[in-house]
Amino acid sequence: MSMAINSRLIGLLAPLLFSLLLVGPASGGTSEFILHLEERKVVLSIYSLGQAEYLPMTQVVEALEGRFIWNKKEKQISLTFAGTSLVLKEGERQLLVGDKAFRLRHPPQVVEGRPLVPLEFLKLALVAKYGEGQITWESRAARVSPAPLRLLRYRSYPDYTRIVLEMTFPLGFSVSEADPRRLILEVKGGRFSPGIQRQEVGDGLVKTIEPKQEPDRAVLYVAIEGKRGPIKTFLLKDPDRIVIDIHRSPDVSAKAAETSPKGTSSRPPPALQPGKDAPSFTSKGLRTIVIDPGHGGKDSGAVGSSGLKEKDVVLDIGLRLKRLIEERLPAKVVMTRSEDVFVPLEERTSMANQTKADFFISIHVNAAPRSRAVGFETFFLSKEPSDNDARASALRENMVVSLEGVSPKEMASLHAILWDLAQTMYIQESSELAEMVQEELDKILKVENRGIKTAPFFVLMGAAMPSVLVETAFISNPEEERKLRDDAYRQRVAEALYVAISRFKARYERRLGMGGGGPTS
Amino acid sequence: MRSRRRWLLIFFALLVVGVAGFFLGQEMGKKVSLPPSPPPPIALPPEAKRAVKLFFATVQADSLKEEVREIPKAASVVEEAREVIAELIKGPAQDLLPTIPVGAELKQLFIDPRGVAYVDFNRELQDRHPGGSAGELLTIYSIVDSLTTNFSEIKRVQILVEGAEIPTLAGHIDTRRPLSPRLSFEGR
Repeated sequence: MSMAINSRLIGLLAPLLFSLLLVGPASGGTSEFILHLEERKVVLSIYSLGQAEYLPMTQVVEALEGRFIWNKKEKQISLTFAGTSLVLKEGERQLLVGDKAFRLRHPPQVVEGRPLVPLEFLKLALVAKYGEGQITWESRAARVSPAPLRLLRYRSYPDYTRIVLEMTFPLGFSVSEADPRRLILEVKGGRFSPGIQRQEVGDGLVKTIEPKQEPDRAVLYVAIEGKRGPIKTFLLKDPDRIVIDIHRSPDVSAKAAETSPKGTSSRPPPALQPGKDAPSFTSKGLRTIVIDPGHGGKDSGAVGSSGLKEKDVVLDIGLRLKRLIEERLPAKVVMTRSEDVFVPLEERTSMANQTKADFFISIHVNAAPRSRAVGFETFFLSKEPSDNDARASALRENMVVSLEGVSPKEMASLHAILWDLAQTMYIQESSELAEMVQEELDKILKVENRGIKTAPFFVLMGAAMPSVLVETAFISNPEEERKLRDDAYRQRVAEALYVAISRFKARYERRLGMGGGGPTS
Repeated sequence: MRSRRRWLLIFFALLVVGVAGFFLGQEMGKKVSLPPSPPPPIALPPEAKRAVKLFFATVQADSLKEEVREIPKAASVVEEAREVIAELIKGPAQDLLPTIPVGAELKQLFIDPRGVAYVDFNRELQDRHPGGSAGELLTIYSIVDSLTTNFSEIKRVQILVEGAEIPTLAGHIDTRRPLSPRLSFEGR
């Protein structure tokens, strides 16, 4: 009886054992290697040869969308894509990737006229093609995608600081808040995009946000400088993202609530003029105007064929405009730069928001080499669908917070929602200002009027006030470049801008007098 | 008993041979289906082409206009999208102006499941950009519009330089997020 069982066992096992010795797809559920290449899923068959696992070269070539060359005489097999080639030799363990040599654990083999390459070749080829940071490895699968953690942003609200980490697909995470001075977010299998860098927040609550890439996970260290209250973390979709709200300690937040919300990069403005940085929200009417001469310092902006630099022209026009406003209007002017220095774009709007300015005018000169373009045009912020997405997701984030119970403290987050909405509402005012700028430039300059346009300008994005960007002339046009060198011409441009601003101010104040309410009444 | 055991052994031996034969046969089947020399890796007729619309700048640099061109049909959208960018880099045939700075090259192109194409260029796209918001708008939207027009799979475009997101290409337009097509930006 026991003998019969043994025999039956042998009978069942023998074919299995036999098949394992053969060259063939490995048995069981492990005979495939699955590649997720963005929108494509490719299945490769794994072949066992002795101890090693192999893949048919043709399948690898197809998966990587490369070119396959097999020099049978030289016994050389190569795979080429986008300028990189991987070269193998039958039975040899050396692999050349470009001019770098690697040693494979198993040599490529030709079995029944079919070249087979070891599994590790696929891994090296994927790294050569996509870069290590783009690939997530699983045991019998690999996923190629742009770094899953694609964007890190934060925003300082009166009573909390929100940190958002956007992902390409949802990943598991954990938050450790044991240390009151430091919050640690770990994202399993996470990989930071190269654009994610250390951020200086310095809003009195969060000091810095520091990404650290570990082999198997991404870690975000949030250094806390203020007295913090509760921390709320949630995972949201579309786009997939982790949201961390670090609340201020209740006693501190009452005081902080008086300051206005600040956008990403809320460093203190570096170039505020002494005596001119006092907020002027005490009486109605337009009191503070921000003039933003484009570019500066290491960023020359566009350069004309005779060498005239945009950064110098726009600074001069900006300073002329400042003098005109200060001489003739009861208004203060804040310059985002008064000299030839580099000021990051986010800092420019941040300065405007912090001084509670009433509107923002960015001055540029245009360029389009080889074109026949001449003239002036004025931009205001468009409602790009992506902006709407961003706003909608900001709203959703806020909804999550406000649904947790509407306490007086939560009302502060309602202010944040209103602030986001206000940005949308400034579009009307911005377009009116843009219209007046175009009209006045048209009267004074007598060159081509290219009209009012909208576009997602970075510098207009974060401004919590009406804002426009004016392109005064084409420095790429030799005739206009010559004009831009002329002081009198620059003065005329400044005059035109001044008239537009004073008209806008008058209309705005008239409206305020009638409505007696907010800026959008 | 003894003879029964023998029969059993013979039966199992036959079974082993049978199953082994089945597996071998499968292998043989594979061998037979293999062509004597390796086939070209992508088995598409080489002459298959498709027409695409490429967007270049008008001489007034105030809008983009399309130019129709043929590219080889490829096995995937990604591959054809790469081809579209390659054609865009070559510049227009006539009447229009190029939008991509000389020396700029495509490094990578991916499409994510949400329909965002990540288009990664080398440093030249930024370093050799002549500046000006007109020039910057034309460069960005020639890429965005050329990809979204030709491939329904691509809804938005994220421009990357050397694998990383850039805040802005030439100091004006916000390129931190994927951009939607904008088929005309003429003044009103």
